[in-house]
Amino acid sequence: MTLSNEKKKTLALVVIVGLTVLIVSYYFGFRWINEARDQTDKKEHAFSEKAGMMNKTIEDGKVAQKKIELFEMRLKPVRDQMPPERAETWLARTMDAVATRHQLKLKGSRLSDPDAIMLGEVKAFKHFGLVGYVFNVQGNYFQLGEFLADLEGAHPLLVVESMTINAGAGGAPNIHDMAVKINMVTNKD
Amino acid sequence: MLHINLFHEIQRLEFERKYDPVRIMGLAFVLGLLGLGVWTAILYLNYKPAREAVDSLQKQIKTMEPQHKEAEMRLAELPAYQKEFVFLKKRAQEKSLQSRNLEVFKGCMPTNLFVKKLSIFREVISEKLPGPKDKKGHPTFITRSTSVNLMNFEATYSEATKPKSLEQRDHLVEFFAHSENLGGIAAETTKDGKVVNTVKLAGFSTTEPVGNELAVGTIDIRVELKK
Repeated sequence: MTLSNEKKKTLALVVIVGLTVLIVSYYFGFRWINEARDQTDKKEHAFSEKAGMMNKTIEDGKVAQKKIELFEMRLKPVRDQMPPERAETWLARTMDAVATRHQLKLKGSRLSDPDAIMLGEVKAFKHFGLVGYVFNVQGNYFQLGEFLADLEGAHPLLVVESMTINAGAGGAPNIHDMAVKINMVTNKD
Repeated sequence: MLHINLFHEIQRLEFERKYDPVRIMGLAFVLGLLGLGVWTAILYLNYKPAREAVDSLQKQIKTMEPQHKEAEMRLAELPAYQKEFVFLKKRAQEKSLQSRNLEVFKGCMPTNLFVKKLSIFREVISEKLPGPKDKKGHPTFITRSTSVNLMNFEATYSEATKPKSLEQRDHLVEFFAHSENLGGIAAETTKDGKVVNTVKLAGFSTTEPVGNELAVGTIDIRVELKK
């Protein structure tokens, strides 16, 4: 079958118009849904992953909460032992009372930041506080030892961080000077 | 007999109309367009539940957010609790009583020593340890820091001569290293295959005897205490 020139032209026109309609329809009509579906699939995947991770974190958080409650329960006796008033006031009063019991007098007592070395791996307390004092006291070796023993026994979380005894000289060779640095764990203000 | 198809012309025209390439091509494009439409409709139908699932996931995430935030806070808090709990437990269990150290110290002093100064403190000791080799195969080192409880005391004694003063110094270091009393509070170390107290001579000086005066030795001893 041979086509007339007129037919050939019409056929070419139909092919061009048909292809154009198909391409334009695809690009401006149907492609969006394909792309939107792809994006939705990606979003669904990402959201479902996020939801899964959030669920895991929530579950881990519940376990952490239980552990924290357990720590709090075990720390309760420690908290209960802490003085009801401000720790530095309690500490100053206790130091004075113990010194008086041993006929000693504190000198140059002042608040002092505890050495970072005392905290070790903790670096800084979040749920507790740490209060420190430095002071000097003079007495014989026996008195100083007894005083220190009483002071250390005043509270389970009171620690003598460092101490230096300089031997007495001159007219009172048995009266020594002891410089003491103490610290104590307290409730957070 | 001559066969003449009188309908030939009509049939040709019918054939040409039926199998008109323009018509066929037009139909093919319409079919293509229809196919595209059906495909899109299928995609849309599949896409709708996916979109609904995304919406529902978004809602779920939004409702989970406060719980998630709370959980993150708890997880961030936990290490501090753990560290502080371990610290407090260790502190209570390993509370080093300095009054006991003073008592032990008094009991282990030889009578010929006059103690001028006694200190007990904590110090960080850094050790350089061999680490893994680097990419070029060169040896590397790791610094390990540990805190130790130390007792430092400065004492004097008198001897007739300077050599005797030096002998006494060595004797005292040996004495404190093997002192059973001091062993109650001192950390142990191994020396020549024997377990001894961790004692170190931190400083020493001696005077020359002049006239009737004896040689005065000043010894500075450092003892590492038990944790």
